[in-house]
Amino acid sequence: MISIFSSIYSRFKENWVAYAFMAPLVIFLLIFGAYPVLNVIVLSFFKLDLYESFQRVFHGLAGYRKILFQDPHFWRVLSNTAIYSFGSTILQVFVGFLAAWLLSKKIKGRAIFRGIMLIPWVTPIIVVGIAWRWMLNPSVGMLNFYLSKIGIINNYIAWLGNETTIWPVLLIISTWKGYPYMALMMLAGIQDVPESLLESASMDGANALQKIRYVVLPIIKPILLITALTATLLTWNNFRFIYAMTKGGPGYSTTTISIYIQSRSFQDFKLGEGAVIATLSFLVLLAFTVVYIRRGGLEAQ
Amino acid sequence: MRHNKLSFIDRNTAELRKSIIHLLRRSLLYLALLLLSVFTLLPFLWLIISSLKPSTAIFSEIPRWIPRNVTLENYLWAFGPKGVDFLELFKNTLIVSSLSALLSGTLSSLAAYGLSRFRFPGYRITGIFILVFQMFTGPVVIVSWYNIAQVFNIYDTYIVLILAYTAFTSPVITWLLRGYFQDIPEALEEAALVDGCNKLQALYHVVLPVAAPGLITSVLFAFVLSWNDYIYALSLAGKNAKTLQVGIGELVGFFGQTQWGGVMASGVLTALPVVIIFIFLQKRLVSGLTAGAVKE
Repeated sequence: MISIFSSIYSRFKENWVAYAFMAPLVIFLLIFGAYPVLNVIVLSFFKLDLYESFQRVFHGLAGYRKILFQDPHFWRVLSNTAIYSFGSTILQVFVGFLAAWLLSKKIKGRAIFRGIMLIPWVTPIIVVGIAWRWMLNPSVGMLNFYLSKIGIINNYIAWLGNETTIWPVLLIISTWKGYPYMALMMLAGIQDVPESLLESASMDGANALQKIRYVVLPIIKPILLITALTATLLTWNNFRFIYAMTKGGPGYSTTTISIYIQSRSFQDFKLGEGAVIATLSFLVLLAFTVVYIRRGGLEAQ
Repeated sequence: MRHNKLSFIDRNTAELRKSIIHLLRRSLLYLALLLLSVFTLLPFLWLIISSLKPSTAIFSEIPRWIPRNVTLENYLWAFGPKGVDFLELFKNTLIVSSLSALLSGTLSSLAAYGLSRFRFPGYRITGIFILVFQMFTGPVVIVSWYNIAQVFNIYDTYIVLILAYTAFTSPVITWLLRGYFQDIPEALEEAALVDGCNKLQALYHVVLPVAAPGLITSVLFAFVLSWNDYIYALSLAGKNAKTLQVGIGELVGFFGQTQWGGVMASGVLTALPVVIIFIFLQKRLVSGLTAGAVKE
């Protein structure tokens, strides 16, 4: 027994400098990173409705039953989140790859193009919301003006106001906002592809598509998979984009899980139910991540 | 003789064809890049142009790319009493974002240095622990932050936002910095240790000066991430600590129909600081972010 302690002590003594460097951040994250997560999970088993009382009352799984089986919007919200998260990620991978492929060529002014590309990524979301809502404005927006001028549409369309156009439009804007990051990561990968491999593929008569399919993709696959995973998780948890564009409306047609958590907690003040939705969302993400990592063969990394 | 001449012509036309194809491909490439840039910049360009027009011209049915009268009335409105009280919101956002970026930078640089220089028992698990907290930010934990704010009586203060921002930026910044530190040869510190410095002195006197550009980049990146937050400020701050994004967001709701010009001007002003910062650190940030992805 004593020997175990003394061996732990001696290992600690050998490494105390390293621990001293790590400690501030680790302690900070235990308090302000781990505690909030645990607290949400614990809270999900309590009833806490600030309109009724400031006391939490334990009620076991009742909150889960309510959200899963009686909540009129939960499943809609979940499917909205899936559309948003997977839809944006897939589109971002495509456009991001295209941009990365173009930028990987020997071109003049690559830095300028890259700089331009990254502006949407870094711009505050509320400004993105203003800019796009202005372009899409039903009565004086330029999109309606030009589309009707070239005869694609006859009547002006409220792009963000009806259920047929709202998701396609939101996905396009989300892609516009997120593709630069994707492109950067993939560009880094493509630049690692040996020039000689591409040349010998050209010698063998491969066209651009074949080169991408058989030479580039296998090499950048690990980066692609990891970046796509990160993007999926980040969009899944992304509150501000939808909030700035539509606030989840009209009705519940674009409400995603993060919007739902926020409004349940801070408009209805049902913090307990907010915690249930958050925990469920976290479980879905965890399951997705595990399956993704297994299927994608990312375990080795 | 004749044969030679023919092949000479052949070679010429073949080369000509080759160079034409090359030229075509190049122009296609630039055309594609140009289209991508237009798609990327158009909304902002239009926002800036519109914000410079008088209100009557903003709502004209025909989009006019070059405004007849350029005016700053919308910008004056944004600063004025009817607008968002821009300066107050700007001050709040600036204080919260900078202090959080500094705190995040301090905690993260120590940890990143530890991760890049030592292999200690628990190295992997610590690394994963730090990474995992990138997943648990924003809406998932917002309820807990509300509780924290109430328990410590810090709701609607700078402190709660600084802590929340540090919690969500520090994992990202740590990984970014770890990459920068790994690029600094350990021989530098070894030399300092031989000269009688201790580890902390070596970090302070030898590593930090070399790492300064990366460090500044990371701190500014943390600043931009905090500046761009919406959900924490919306849920944890009321009147006193309200940030720009939330303030402008309310503005869109109130004046969405009547004061588009003012709303747009406020938007341009909100984007300006981060876009400027970003232009300066673009190159280094890009190499830092992608290096992390490639090396992992």
